[in-house]
Amino acid sequence: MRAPATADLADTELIARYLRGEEQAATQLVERHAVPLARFLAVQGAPEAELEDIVQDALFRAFRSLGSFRGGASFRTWLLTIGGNLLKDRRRQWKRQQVIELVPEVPDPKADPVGEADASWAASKLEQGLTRLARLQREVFLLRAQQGLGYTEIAAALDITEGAARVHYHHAVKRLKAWMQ
Amino acid sequence: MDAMNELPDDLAKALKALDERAAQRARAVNTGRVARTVMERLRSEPALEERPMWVRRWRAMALAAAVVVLAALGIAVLRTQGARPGASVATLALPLELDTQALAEGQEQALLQAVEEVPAAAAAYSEPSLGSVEELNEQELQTLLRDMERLNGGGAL
Repeated sequence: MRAPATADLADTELIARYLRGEEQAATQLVERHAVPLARFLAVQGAPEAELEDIVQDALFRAFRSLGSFRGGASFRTWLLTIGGNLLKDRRRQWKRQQVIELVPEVPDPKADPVGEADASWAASKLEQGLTRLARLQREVFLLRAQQGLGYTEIAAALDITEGAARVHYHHAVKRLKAWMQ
Repeated sequence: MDAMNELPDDLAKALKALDERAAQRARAVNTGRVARTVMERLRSEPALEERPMWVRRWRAMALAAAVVVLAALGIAVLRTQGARPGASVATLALPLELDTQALAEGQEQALLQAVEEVPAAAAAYSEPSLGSVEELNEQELQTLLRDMERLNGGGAL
């Protein structure tokens, strides 16, 4: 079966096509970036029940503000920062509504009681630690360590200097290291 | 994930485990459904007019000025008429016209909140209760005149 005509196009070309009125290009962008965005948000502790809603809202907002997308960072990175901001706003709403977030799952003691339980504990501990970081520290840390981005792109996406991005990353690592001990 | 190599070993392992868990959660997201919802919203929800930053800043400043004028007016009127218990600023005729249609929801709320706070501010005013303008001393009259002049200056909003 032949793949859709937009499947192999670069994000920038898909954006240009969407802005010219091709809806299929937007659908292609959503299908390409929805899961990575969900993963980025899930690492930051977005509740599973809310994940899909935050992802679709972030994508909607991204398409609505494509006019302000300057292209200094990739569409993916820009989208991740929109998602991060949205998650921060949702957290504020949840706090006001006294929504109690579910505690991350408890490791299954039957499956590799030592190794997996340790890994699960460390993951939960890190998840908590990430929520305690300042927003820029958390985002710089995840964009660098989880997404593997360079400082130049991170700085462009977050509208900060490259030096500031390095400083935020350094502080985030230092604080998380202390938190994990 | 080369950047993970920069991390201390325990932090790198924790991040790897957290990322795997996140990937599992992310797989539950139905991309087809997300795409349909996004496209439906893009079709059905009208795009907000994108205003330049300087317009938004100017509007915020104008709103802040309007709030100050309203507060000053409320206090001045309550001072000259005497603060009646339970008097509401909503009953005062304000020589101002605000284009509330043009305000964003947050701006409207801020404005309404500020207006609601005027009686409280007036009640907190520590001057003795005043019966009429004739009873004001020179300093109080000057203050009142300054308030009125400020109001006239802000009426152009």
